[in-house]
Amino acid sequence: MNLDLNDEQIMLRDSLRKMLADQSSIKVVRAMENDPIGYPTSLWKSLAEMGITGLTLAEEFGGSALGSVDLAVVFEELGRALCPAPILETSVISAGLIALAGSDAQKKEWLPRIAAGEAVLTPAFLELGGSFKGTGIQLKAEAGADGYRLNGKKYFVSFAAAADRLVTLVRTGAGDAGIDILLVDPKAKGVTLTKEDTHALDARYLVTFDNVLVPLSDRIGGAGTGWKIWSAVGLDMMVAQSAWFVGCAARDLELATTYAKERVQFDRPIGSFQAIAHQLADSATGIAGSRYLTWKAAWAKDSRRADFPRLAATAFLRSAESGRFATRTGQQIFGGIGFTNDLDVQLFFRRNKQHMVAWVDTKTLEDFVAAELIEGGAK
Amino acid sequence: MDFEFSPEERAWEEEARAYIKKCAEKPGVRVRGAEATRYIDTPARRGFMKDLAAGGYLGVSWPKELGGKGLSHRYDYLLNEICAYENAPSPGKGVGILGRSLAKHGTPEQKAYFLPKIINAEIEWAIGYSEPEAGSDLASLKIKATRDGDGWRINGQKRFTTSGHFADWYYLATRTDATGPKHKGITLFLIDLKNTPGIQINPMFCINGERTNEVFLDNVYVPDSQRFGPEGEGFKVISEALDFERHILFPHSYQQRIFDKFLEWVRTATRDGEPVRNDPAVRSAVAKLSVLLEEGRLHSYSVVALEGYEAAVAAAMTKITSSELFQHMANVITTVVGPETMLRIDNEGAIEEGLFELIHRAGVILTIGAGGNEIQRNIIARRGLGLPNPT
Repeated sequence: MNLDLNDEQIMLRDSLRKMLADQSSIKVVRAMENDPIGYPTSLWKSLAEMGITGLTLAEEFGGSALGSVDLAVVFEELGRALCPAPILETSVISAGLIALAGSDAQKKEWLPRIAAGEAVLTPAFLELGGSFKGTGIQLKAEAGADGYRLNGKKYFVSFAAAADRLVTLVRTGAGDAGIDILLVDPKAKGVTLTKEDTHALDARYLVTFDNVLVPLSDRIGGAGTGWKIWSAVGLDMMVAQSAWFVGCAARDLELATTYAKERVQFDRPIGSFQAIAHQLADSATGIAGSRYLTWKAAWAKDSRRADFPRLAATAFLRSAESGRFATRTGQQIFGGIGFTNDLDVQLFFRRNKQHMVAWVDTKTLEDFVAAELIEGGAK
Repeated sequence: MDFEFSPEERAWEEEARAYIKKCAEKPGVRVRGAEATRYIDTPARRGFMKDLAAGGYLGVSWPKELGGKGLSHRYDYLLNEICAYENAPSPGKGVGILGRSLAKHGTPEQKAYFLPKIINAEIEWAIGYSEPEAGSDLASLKIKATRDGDGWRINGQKRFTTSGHFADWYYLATRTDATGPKHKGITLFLIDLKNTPGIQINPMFCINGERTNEVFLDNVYVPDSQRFGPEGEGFKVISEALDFERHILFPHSYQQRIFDKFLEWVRTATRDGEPVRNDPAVRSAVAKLSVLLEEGRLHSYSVVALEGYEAAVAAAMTKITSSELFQHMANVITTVVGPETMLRIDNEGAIEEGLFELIHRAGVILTIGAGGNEIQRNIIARRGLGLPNPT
């Protein structure tokens, strides 16, 4: 029983926090709102120099081959800083898919460039009216002799304007075995990007595919295995995202706590009122529990434990909610001034919520956890 | 980072569980189904404590010179969790709350008399903290102890002295100085409940079926040799005792056991001939509870893993999380399971010996006792977040 980070992880955390304080300051976060690219090149370069872009990738591809706990450490910092950069999209999900199921040629082409910060890949996943399950994938891909022909739309594609490839989930047949994942060049003929205005004002796009041709060699994994590999990598997404929720909430709590000590009403700091203090105590309790849940899921992955999938979903579910509680509480503590754009808490509040519905949602994860417990025989 | 107990700890736990299961199966020992009480209040349960002592499971984390095993506090935690999960009686206040305090503050005579009796399960304790006017604000307690020759005279009233009607000894907090700040001027005494004149114990019955007591002390004489710790320093001693034992104050296994029983019900029960596990609302309830349960487990682990100042905040978080989960779970389970949760134990149709009925009553005290949850939130706000004291 040891719930502490090791010395290397503490060093990683501290050095990343220091770099982000400079390169991903609130000023930078604000400047990236409504920006079509969505991240500063200099920040991306700094992340690559620190090894963050290739954190969990194998050393043969220029990665650092670190584990899931290290990934959680990094994502808590990215959350604290609201770091505007496609680490989740490129290094966790896209690189994860290629590392898990890609051909040797795909690995050689993309993984070293991702690790070096020279390529951005982003998933094109969700569709309008669709769920987070396999049934949500309806973008049609017809296989022909020269490749797939894609027709349809993807929504909420983050950092698409900067992407070298759109990692696109397409439907080739019935059921979950009728889903493939393709590497689509956004500059290919028939691909159109339309900027979306979102809750978090980040760089998301509606992508239209009009008879887009994708070579067969650009499919990741065997035909019909797309949903399986997407679900496997989804577990790493959950750990990373869970840690991000914790970091985002922890920083929001710090802002609100500081304000509660300084803001005077009725001749005393408002933090001396239990009505205020107890809300902050509840935020702190939820954040502490969520951090342990995140670390336990990450530890379970690194220790190859069978309950990792359930723990990853559990961590996401709790961290998302405790993050929502803490960021809403932050809004309440800051009162009227927190409702203005001038104050920073609203940046955390909006991003927490957006991340709760961007990759997976509560209902999907609850279904999964319930099945593991009721039919899976787990406790 | 490691969320698992060591192989040695797990092996010890397995052995302990087998032993405790066996001892708990003797008639009258195991807390039957829905009964909430885990007190050592009958000869059979005293026998269980004797069995624990004989097996070497009392005072496992006490130093060897006190008759303990000198193991880490993680073994205490595991033992406490086993007893809670197996519905066995709770290992008791002596080894749990008093022992280390006695070892630190007791006189040589007190240590020589009490410590062997505690570790051999020959003595049961009642704790006298609360009063009618001193609940969450414990330091405002009023019961008066005044010097009388070589001893003290005690006059006043205590409330919520659970175990008072069967305990052998009373660990009593009194006021010996009412002139200074209220945290000062509190003095502790050890009182022989069976052989001291002037003590009247009246029952108060609780909604969970347990008995607690009001205790009236009328000119009770106590020799100074039974004063415990320095005069006026009682509050400090009480707070320290909490530090020693905070990792076992609130077993996670209570909630785990209830959840496991609920899960079993979900897997097997039907409504109108349909398996309830097919109901999306039931599945969602299972998932939601499981998330909070896992969080509660890790909060309690954090108290085991941390020390000192950090542990005090972690313990407050654990207490809040566990007690509120218990109540939430009771509300959700009674809502999901439905009409049968009206039935108390021994009625036709009662589920799990009325467990799901009982928890809705029994849970009420958990957010109140052992430091109300409002007090716990104050601890987190002040010690954890550094917020100013309320004015």
